[in-house]
Amino acid sequence: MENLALFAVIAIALAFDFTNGFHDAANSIATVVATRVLTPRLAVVWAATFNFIAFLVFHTGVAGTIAKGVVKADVLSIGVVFAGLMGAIAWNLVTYFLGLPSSSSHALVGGIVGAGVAKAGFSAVVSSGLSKIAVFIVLAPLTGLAVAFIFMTIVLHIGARFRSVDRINRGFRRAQLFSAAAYSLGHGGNDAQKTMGVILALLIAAHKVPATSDVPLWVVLSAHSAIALGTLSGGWRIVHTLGSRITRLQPAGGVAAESAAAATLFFVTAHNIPVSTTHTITGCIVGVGSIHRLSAVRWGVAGRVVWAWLLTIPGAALVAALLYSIVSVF
Amino acid sequence: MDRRAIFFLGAGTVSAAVITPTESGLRWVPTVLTAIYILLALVSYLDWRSNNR
Repeated sequence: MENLALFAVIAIALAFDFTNGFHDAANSIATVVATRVLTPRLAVVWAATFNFIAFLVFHTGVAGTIAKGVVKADVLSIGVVFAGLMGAIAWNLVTYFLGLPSSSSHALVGGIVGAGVAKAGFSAVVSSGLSKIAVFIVLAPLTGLAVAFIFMTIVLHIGARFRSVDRINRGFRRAQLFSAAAYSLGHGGNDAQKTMGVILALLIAAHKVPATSDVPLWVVLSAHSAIALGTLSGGWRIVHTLGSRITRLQPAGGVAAESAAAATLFFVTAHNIPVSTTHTITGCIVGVGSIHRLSAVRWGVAGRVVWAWLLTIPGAALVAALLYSIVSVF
Repeated sequence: MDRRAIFFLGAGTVSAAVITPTESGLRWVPTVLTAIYILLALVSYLDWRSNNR
């Protein structure tokens, strides 16, 4: 019976990774599509490929943070992870249908925290791990924004030398393929590991692997496959919001935004920090958009995004806590 | 007053506010960000002032 429950929750975790794919992974190609460098279909295949091969580049430290750094290991059980995942998925679906680029990652963290607290009270939370994640909720988009602004300044200086922004944009159309690939790599490396972390936590809770175990290879491959398939399924509402509603981007701006986001994601993944890829790319797009003037950024949309960010962890935590209360009756 | 300079100043203030809660090994990240945003605010303000003279 326990094996069946374990199998079912692993399947839900992979389904969450899939929803992360169609919800978040579309961000990788928003700028490529908005600047018409690739058709939507090709852009999706391009992003999914780099999402998948990210496991060849990054170690699995982010998975360790999710498995052992959010809720204490002795609190984790199949029921807690189930309620946490379902809370995150429910929150993701609500924001997806509203077209809000909220964070799947923070929904997951919020869900696990909510279910853990519902089971064992606030002492269940690993405060050092949660504060590290909370700090980078703020720092990831701010880092991306600053780096994108600096990259865009460099691009514009190069453009001024050539005295033609159009020529520069033509040159950057191809460069954007590489920046989108780098961003997709960073996205796959950080986001797929959150699912790996959940599955690792489940395996530890069910005593299938020792608590000191690394992430098994089948878990790594499953998580990357799920996120890549999710990306292939698309996420056009979110693409539309990020690619055209926040600010209009030219190819040079797309390269600057994606390169900045990729650099930020590579950095945080190397430091085992799970961050929201949505937050990061949004910060980068705002950074590029604000280089000319702040009115280039559509602050009404950006404001909705911020509201979605603020509500995600408490919202997903509340849903997960309610779900755990129901699950624990059985 | 230049709105972009105010925006960068706000971002710098937020970065400075998270220096303390950041773990010691990574504290340089918000510190550097604070410095960058203050610099960007200053440059933005000077740019705005020179354009409005």
